[in-house]
Amino acid sequence: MVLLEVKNLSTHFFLKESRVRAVDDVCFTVEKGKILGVAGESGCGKTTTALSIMRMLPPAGKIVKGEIYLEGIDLLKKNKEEMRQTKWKELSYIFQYAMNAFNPVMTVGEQIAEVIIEKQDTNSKSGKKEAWKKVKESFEIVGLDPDRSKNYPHEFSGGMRQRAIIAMAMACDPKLLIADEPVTALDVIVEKKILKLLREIQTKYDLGIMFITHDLSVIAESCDEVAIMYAGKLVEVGDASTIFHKGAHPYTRMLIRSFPSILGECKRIEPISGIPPDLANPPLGCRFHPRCPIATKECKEEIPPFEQFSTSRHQVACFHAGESIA
Amino acid sequence: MSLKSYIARRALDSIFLLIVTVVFNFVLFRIMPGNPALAVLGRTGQVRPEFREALQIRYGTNLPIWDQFVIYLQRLLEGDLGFSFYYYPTPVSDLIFSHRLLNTVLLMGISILLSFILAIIFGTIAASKFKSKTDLVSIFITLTSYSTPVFWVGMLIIFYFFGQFHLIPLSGSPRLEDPKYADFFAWALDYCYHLIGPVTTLTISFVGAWFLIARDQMLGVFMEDYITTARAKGLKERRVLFVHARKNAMLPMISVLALAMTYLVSGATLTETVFSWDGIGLLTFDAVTYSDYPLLQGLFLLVAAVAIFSSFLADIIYAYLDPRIRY
Repeated sequence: MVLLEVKNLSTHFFLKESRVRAVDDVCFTVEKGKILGVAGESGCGKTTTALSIMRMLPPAGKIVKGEIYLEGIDLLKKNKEEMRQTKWKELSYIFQYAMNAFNPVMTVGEQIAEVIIEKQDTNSKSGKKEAWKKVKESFEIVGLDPDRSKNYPHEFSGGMRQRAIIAMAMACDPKLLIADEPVTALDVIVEKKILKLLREIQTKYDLGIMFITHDLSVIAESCDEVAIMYAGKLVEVGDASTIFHKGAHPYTRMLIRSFPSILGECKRIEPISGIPPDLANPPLGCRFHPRCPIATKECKEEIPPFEQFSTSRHQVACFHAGESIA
Repeated sequence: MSLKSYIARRALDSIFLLIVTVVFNFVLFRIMPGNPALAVLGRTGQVRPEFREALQIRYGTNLPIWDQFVIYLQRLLEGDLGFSFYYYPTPVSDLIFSHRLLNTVLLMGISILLSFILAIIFGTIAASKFKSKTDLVSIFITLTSYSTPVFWVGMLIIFYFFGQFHLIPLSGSPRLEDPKYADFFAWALDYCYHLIGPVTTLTISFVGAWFLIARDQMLGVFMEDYITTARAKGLKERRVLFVHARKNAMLPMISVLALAMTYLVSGATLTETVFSWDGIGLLTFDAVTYSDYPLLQGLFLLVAAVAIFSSFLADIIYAYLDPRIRY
């Protein structure tokens, strides 16, 4: 069942002298109870896509085109107040920064309880009690001592804070969770624990997760589906195993090759030469063509359509999809 | 460190500071030029030696400095601040702790509180509408008010609101003892009526700088990640502004308030002069004019003590507002 459907989303930043096409014509879906991993280099539009869904773009950013359906309802058609009510109740967000996501002068529990109270229908005193009960429950779910909910954020370690953030994200039983680099600031051991926790919660609550990261190993470990972004465009979407074993877009393959493998033979990792294009003046045709080893004249002139490839759930935007690269 | 030991340490610091202040306050007036004879008998210098000696004995300035200090401390502990030169034989404490202190505390207290609340509310609103018309207009207004001399504002207010519109009285500070007041309420009403002019003047002069500080602090806090989190949670904008942001932006404002606390007892000489408000500011002005050292000494000590106490209080409020502060 489709939980989130993003159709032809284009988000541009209007700067003084230029227009940065940070997200251009992006389409993808998140299934109920599945994790979609969104990967790509820094600045390729992952976070902008996520913020567009939350309708929390910085002032210069505007959604110029597209539809975003959450359970069939277009989020972009909602007014500010309706969107405010939707936030956290139906979709919640884990931000990149674990360390500063909590207000330093309020206790962690208070900050979780306030959002539960805000999203409750009743505004009675029992609602407050109920909220605190839920805070304690959510602390237990994420493996924190419920008594610590009365502590301030600075009294938590990084891993504990990340757990508390997950507890907060789950506080109002959302249907969709957008996790933007949730483990990037953590060391690998804590990272592993947090990923396991996310996976557990996701199965338990049948949650749809959009998981943003630049770390392919994290995606390989935890995601059902993968979307690869490059320079504001989606280049390939498919099952995790399809992407990792039968990735068809040259960028996908080169990205995977640029990560070392701890299994199998010891190969020299191959970085992708060149840098991502300036999104204020993106190259004509396929945006990857200046760095692509198999680019042809066609690639320089026309934008490759985003089309189905091997299976029904595998889509690629490349004229030479599947061709071997040197 | 726990909150209790933090407060205890701050209290000890404050007491130490107070002792240093008392010593300094004593020494300062012994090394200043002049003596009671000059102050009381004028600056002609034509003083008969017997008079000079009599005055020296009366004020104890003939004694060695150590003895003077011991006497000063003893009297201070008894609450005795000595006798004024100019208003002799009125004790300094009677001069300070009288209707004058009440007048000043009321005038300054109301002005400070009003300016503080206005600065915070408008600072928060202006920051939340950064670079909008509201923001730019309020910056223009406050910068103008901030850079306008306070006595001139006072004169303008008298000129227009008394002279042209007849909305406020000219000047003066009504006294309860005045027989023309039938009861307390009649006095209180007239008192408030007389307060309007000076309070408006002082508020205009205070609010500008405080508004800018409040706005700046808010803008800084808006950049913080936890504000983005609060917005993502779909909290009401009012809650984001006044709970999440305000509490964090409050700390520097507490410092501002603590610094302003000294005005509470020192008064505002210029405003009090313009409005003939019989307060500590005017008293200080007189004390300086007539080289009334004992009176000045008493006034200085009062202001210093209030400054020390208010910064102690500010430290405690800090710790209450921000749980990370326990140093």
